[in-house]
Amino acid sequence: MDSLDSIDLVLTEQEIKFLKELKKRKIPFLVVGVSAAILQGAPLATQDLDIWFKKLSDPKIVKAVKKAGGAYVSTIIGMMNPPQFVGKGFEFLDIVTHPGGLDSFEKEYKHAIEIKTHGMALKVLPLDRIIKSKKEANRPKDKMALPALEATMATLRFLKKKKK
Amino acid sequence: MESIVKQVQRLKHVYTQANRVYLTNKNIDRHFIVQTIFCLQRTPNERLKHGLLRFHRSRFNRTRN
Repeated sequence: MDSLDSIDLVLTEQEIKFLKELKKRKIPFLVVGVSAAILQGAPLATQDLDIWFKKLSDPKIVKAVKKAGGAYVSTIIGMMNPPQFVGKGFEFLDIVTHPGGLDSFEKEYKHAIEIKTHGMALKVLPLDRIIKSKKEANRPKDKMALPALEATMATLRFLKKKKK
Repeated sequence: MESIVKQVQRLKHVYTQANRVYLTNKNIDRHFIVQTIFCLQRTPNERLKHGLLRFHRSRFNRTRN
């Protein structure tokens, strides 16, 4: 089909291992943001995979990231650094702490959709909720993503109706 | 590799569907509708391949940690 066919691994080895560890340890998390939209068919591009955890202070997360060869750096008072993962292969995995415009994690998790990739089922924030969150964030990059997200939403709705 | 005939058939199918979506949503950009339909034909793994810019890492040369 195209030149990307020769690439097998899309996520880094460490990311895959980490996500599998999270699932193994039953740590609730959601894939959010543009990467979640891409998984649902949105014609967009991004660098990061954004993850929203139910409870970031869950010690099982630290164990999972360690097992995958990385480390977790929490916010340090006075430094204003966002919590993040560090280590080889973790450069593009972002932690989302307060996604704007959304309900509680529990509520969003309940309505999340499951998408299978890399041999695992990932819980993903549905498109309509991504649009809501992008509208709330309203940064230039969010505004830029909206036309493509809305087109994807309209297309999915149309195809769903047609199926019925 | 997909044959030329198959490619043309697929293109026809995509644009026909895109037009139908557009006719019911004229406020939406037709280009994005077409692109979405192409994306929907891919598996989630393939969608990530196309959507994650990390394969162009050398071009962006982004390092953070």
